[in-house]
Amino acid sequence: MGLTPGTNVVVVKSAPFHGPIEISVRGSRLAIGRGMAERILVSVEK
Amino acid sequence: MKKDKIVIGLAGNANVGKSVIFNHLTGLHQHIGNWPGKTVEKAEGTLHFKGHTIDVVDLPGIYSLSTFSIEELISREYIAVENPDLVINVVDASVLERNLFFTLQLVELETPIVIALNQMDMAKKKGIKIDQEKMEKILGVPVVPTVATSRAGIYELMQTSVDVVEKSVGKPTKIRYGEELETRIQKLSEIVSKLQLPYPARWAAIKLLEEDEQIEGRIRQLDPKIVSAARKLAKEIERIHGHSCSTVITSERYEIAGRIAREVQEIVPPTKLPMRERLHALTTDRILGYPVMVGVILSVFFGIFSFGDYTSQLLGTVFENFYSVYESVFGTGILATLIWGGIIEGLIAGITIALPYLIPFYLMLYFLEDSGYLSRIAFLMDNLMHKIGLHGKAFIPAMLGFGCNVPACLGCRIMETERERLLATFVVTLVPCAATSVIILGLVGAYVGFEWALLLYVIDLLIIFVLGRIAFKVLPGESTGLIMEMHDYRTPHLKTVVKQTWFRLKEFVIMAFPLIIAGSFIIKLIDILGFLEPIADVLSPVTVVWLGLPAITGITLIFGVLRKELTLLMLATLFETADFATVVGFGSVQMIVFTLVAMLYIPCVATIAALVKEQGWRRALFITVFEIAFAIFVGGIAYRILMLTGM
Repeated sequence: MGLTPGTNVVVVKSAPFHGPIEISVRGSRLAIGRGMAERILVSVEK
Repeated sequence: MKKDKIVIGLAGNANVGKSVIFNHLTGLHQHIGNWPGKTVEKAEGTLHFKGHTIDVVDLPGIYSLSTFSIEELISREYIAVENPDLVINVVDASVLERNLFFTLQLVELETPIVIALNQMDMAKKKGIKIDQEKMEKILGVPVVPTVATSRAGIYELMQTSVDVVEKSVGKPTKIRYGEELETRIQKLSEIVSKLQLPYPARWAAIKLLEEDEQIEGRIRQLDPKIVSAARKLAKEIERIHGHSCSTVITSERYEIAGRIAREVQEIVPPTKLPMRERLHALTTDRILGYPVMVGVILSVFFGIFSFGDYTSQLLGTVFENFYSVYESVFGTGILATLIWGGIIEGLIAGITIALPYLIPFYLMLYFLEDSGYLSRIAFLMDNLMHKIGLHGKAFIPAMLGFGCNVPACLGCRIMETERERLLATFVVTLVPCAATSVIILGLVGAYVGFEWALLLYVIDLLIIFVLGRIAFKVLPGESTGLIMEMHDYRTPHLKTVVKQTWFRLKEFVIMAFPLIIAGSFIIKLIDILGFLEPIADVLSPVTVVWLGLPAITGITLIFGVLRKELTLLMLATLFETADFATVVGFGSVQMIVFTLVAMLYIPCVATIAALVKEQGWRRALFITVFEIAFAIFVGGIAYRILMLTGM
C-alpha cells in the first residue's frame, strides 16, 4: 500500500479505544489497524 | 490492420471509477460470473464501436500485482496468459502517485496500454493540474482524460483504444531500476528468456527477484537451477540495501511512480478547507463520529423498514386477492393446494423478501459504499470487531444482518481472505434478522415482558461474540489487520448504484428462488400427505422432553425454515388463538425457550441459499447443522435454568 522504507507518513488521527489510526501517505489516506500500525517503525521529522 | 473482434481488459486500483467506465462502455450487455475456480466475480460485456465488436473484461480492482490476494493473481494471469489486445488502465488523477505504482506493474507485463486519467474533476477540485502530454511521453502510452461520472472522455477513450489496437502501438517504455537491481534483472531475464513462458522474460525475472511464490513454482518445474540462481541474486541485493529484495524493488517502483507524479503534476491546494474534508473529519471524529454513525445506521434501517413494511403489506393484499381468484378457479383439491401452498407460496415468500427489503437495502448499501462512508464506519468499528478475529470491514455485513441475513451473507465478500469471509459469514447468520425480531418482540416482548426480550438480544450478542471467538481460534490461519484506503468523499454515481442493485437482485432471484420454492414444495407435500403430525411425534423427544415445549411446536419450527416469522404465525394457527397467554402448557418459560430456539436454530431457506452461493454446499450444510444442534442445546439448558428459578 505504499508503505515502503523511507516513506514519509503523517499520522492524522487515531480512533478511540485503541482503534485504528488514520495516516496520510503518498497523497492518499489510509486506515491501519493498531496491531499493524505498531509494526511500522518511524522516526520523527520536524 | 483491421480487427473485427477486440478484447480489452479494464484494470485499475479499487475505487477509481472503473465500474462506472465499465457500465458506460457495456450498458446492460453484461455477463457476471466467477473466475474459473474462484469466488471472485468476473464481469464481461460487449460493445460495438465503429464496426468493431469489443469485448470488455472488468478485472478485479487491486493495489499491486504481487500475489497478495486472489484478485491480483487473477488480473495478472489474465493479462499475461489470455493476452488481451489492450488493457485500459483506469487511473485516479486525484491520487496519481499511488495509481501510477500499479500502472508501472502493468507496463512491466509489456501489454499495450491506454491510460484513462479519470476523476479529472476531483483532481481539479484538489488543485491538481496534470501535464497529459508529458505523461504520455514518459510512459510511452496514450493518456485520455476522463470524468466517468459525467461520461466525459469515454468516446475519446474508445477511439484511442481502437487506434492503438489497429496500429499495434502503445507498447510502453521500459522502466529502469537502480543500477544494482538493473544489472541483476538483465542477467536473470537473459536466462529466463530461454524458457517457454507465457510471461515476458523481464517481468518473470523481476518476479523471481521478488520471490513471488507462484512464478517461482512455475519456473522450478522447468529448471530449478534458475530459481536458486535468482535467490542468490536477491540475497546480494539484500546485503547491499539491508532490506529484502522484494522490499527494495517495491520501494524503487514507488520511487519511480513518485518521480513521474511530481514531474507531470502541479498542485496548488485550495485555501479553504473543502466540504468533503470537513465531512471526513466529522465522520471519523473520536467522539462525534459515533453518534453520527448511529444516526446514519438508524435512519437507513428506519427507511428500509418503513418502505419494506408498507410494500410487503401492499403485496400481501394483492396476493390475498389473487388467492381468492385462484381458489374460485382451481378449487381446493389436493393438486390445487399443493401448487398454491408449495410453489406459489414459495414464490410469494421470495418476492416479499426480495422486493420490499432487498431493493432499498442494496440501493442504500451501494450509495453509502460509493460515497465513501462505509470505509469510515469500518474505521470506527475496527477495534470491536477485532475481538472476534475480524476487522472493521466485517461490521458492515454484521450490521446488515439485523435487517436480513441474505444480503449480509453476500456482503461478506468485502473481506480479504477466504478465512475471514467464512468467519464473517458464520457470525452474520447468527445475527437476529428482522423476522427474528418479530418473534422476539411479538412473543416474549408482548407476553413475558420487554426486559426479557431485551435479555434475549443481549444473549444473542453474547453468543455471537463467544462463537465468533471460538471459530476464530479453531479456524486455521492468521487474522489480518485492517488496512484500507479511505478515498475522498464524493457524490455517488446514481446510475452505477442502480445498476449494481439490479445485478445483485437478479443474482439473488436466480440463486435463491428455486431453493425457496423447492423448500416450500417439500414442506407442503409433507403436510398434504399427513406426515406433519408423525414428524412432530418423532421430534417430541427433542421438543417435549429436552426443550419442555408442546409437541405441536415441532411443526412450526419446520415451517420456520421458510421464513422465521412463520413460526409465530403457525403457532397462532395451530393453537387456534392469537392470544398466547390463554394457551395451557405454553407459559413464560416455554415462550422464552421457543423464541431462543427459533432465534438460533437455522438460517432461513433464503439465507441457506445465499450460504450455498457464497461458501458452497459443504460449508452451508455444516453451518446449518451446527446451528440447529446448537439452538437445541442452548434451548434445553435455558429450559432447565428457567425451571430452577421457579418461573
